[in-house]
Amino acid sequence: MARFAHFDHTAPSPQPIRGWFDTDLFNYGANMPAAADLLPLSDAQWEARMVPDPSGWHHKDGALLPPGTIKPPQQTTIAVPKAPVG
Amino acid sequence: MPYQPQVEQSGNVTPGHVAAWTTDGVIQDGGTPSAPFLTTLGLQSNSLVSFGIANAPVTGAYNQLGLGFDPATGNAALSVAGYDGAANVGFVVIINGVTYAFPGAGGGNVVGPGSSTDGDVALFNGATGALLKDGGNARVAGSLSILIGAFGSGNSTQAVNLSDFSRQNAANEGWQFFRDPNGNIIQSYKGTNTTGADFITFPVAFPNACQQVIAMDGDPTAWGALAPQPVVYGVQQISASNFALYAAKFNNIAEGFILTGSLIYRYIAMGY
Repeated sequence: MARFAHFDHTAPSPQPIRGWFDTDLFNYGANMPAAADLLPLSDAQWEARMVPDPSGWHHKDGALLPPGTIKPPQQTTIAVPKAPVG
Repeated sequence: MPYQPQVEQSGNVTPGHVAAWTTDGVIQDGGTPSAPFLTTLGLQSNSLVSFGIANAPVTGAYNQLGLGFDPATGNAALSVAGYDGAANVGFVVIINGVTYAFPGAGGGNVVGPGSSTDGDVALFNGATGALLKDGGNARVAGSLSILIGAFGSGNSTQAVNLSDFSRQNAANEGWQFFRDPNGNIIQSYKGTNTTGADFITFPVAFPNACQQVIAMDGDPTAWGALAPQPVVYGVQQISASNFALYAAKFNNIAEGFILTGSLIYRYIAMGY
């Protein structure tokens, strides 16, 4: 396997995928995450990471969960100052 | 021809010369290179030196030019070698008074044009693999130096990885990446956010670090025409494999910016 999904195995499951690593394309050297934090991917899984988006994926029990499977956190409002009157 | 126990000599002979038949029963001196009488000489041998010329008596040090067949390979061979302590000598080809050293000073064995431009690249001339020609516009003197190979190529003389410059995903108009020969990488992407405060994962992690991400709106027509509700994007927490993207859309009713999902964004990320 030369392609991996990176997650934090110490985080509560399901763990968000934090990165996609292709060791055929790049030499990550010491920056390669620990094996416990890597999920080897098949060619089909690697290609599928882009559908619909490489963000929002999760790992659970050795399986990849596509974006949308996990409910996102609630939205937050940021107040902006009003324009001065008069 | 009837058997003749004796032959006659025609003319004078020189010791060391071979004998040549003049006619039936008559031989003469075989002559010299400038006055030859031999008309044909056939040898049947499979030795490296079937025909040898030594530059000194073989009782001492001598060099020998040999003509024959190499028994090891079966190839026809023209050989030069020193024996019994003789220093090695070179081999030259002299054509119409012009001496061509073989092999050349660089050890090459190809034939090139009569003239060329210094620094031009040499190209093969034809398919024989032996003839060279001037490369014309391809010139390397002072401008192109391939001392180390392209980053990650594993080849010490490879100038570039052309695959680094190809679009990696034609189906998605956003994702491209290329890497220069020094290992600098640019990725671009077009995607849709989820909440407005999301970790965006690069399609492929940078080998060392991402240094810069510039994000912007990828669908400004969604702002609306009469009362535009623009989106402000912010980027922080950049790592080699992802970054935090904030997208806040202006809300006319709330009179404020609200973190919003399902927005189309674009970014360019640079790293190495």
